[in-house]
Amino acid sequence: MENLTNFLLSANVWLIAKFFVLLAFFVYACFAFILVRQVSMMIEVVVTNLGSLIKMISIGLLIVAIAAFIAMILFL
Amino acid sequence: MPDLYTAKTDADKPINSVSPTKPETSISEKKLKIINELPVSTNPFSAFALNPSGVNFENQKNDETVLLLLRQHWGVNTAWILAGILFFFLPWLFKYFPGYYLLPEKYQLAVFIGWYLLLAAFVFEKFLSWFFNVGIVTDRRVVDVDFFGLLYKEISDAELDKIEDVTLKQVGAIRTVFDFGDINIQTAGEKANIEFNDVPHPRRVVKLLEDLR
Repeated sequence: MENLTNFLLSANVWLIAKFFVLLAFFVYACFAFILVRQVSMMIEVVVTNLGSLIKMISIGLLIVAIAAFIAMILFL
Repeated sequence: MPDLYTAKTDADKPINSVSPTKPETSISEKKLKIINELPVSTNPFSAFALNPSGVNFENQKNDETVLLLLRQHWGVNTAWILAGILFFFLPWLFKYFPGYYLLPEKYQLAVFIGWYLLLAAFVFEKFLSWFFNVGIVTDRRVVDVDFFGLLYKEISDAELDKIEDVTLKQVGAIRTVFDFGDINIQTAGEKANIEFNDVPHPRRVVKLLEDLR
């Protein structure tokens, strides 16, 4: 217990913050991936002229999410 | 004494009178006439698209024609569009939060990027929910496509001749002014009723369904 308390007190607060920020961006990237799957399913069920555009937007969002996650790993 | 009432005989009928029993083919002819008279909608964002071009759906039969595509009225989207605009400009107010400047610059940037990513997801998800939750009326049936959450879909349909009752509900001043409401389609058998909520021009939808039945 004492060791754990010492570890928590000595831990760098920004290291913990970095961990949570990276976790948040990772979760967002997973969400963006699920969003791409969701859009694929939706455009199969209801076929419209805008289907391919909406799919491209969802893929764009996934690319931005992954890029943001990598950027956070590199720059934080 | 003169007769007060005299029943009509066959001789009184006009020679070219039409038989009250309609032939079976007249129904399809009627549908064909309705289909031909419908204007073609080319606006992909329309909430009330008659004869929409380029619209198909899963399990559509080869000879089945989409006559009407319904989405929720645009007014329903007002709340999240306004929220989106508000949230877009909110980072300009971050500087007034005392805790924000205690963060190192790179963490400020992370908050900034994270905020806009969340906003993009919020707006995109709301748009998808509106765009793909549709009601479809074809020359054969009524189809209700619902998506809940991220990966759950529910598609229910009813043949036009199985429709027993169509109920229109238009409650409140806003719905009356902007002409949108709910339509409940009761079907025969154990199938669940089909509901189109907040659709524009509900009376026209009911009229079309009546004509097609």
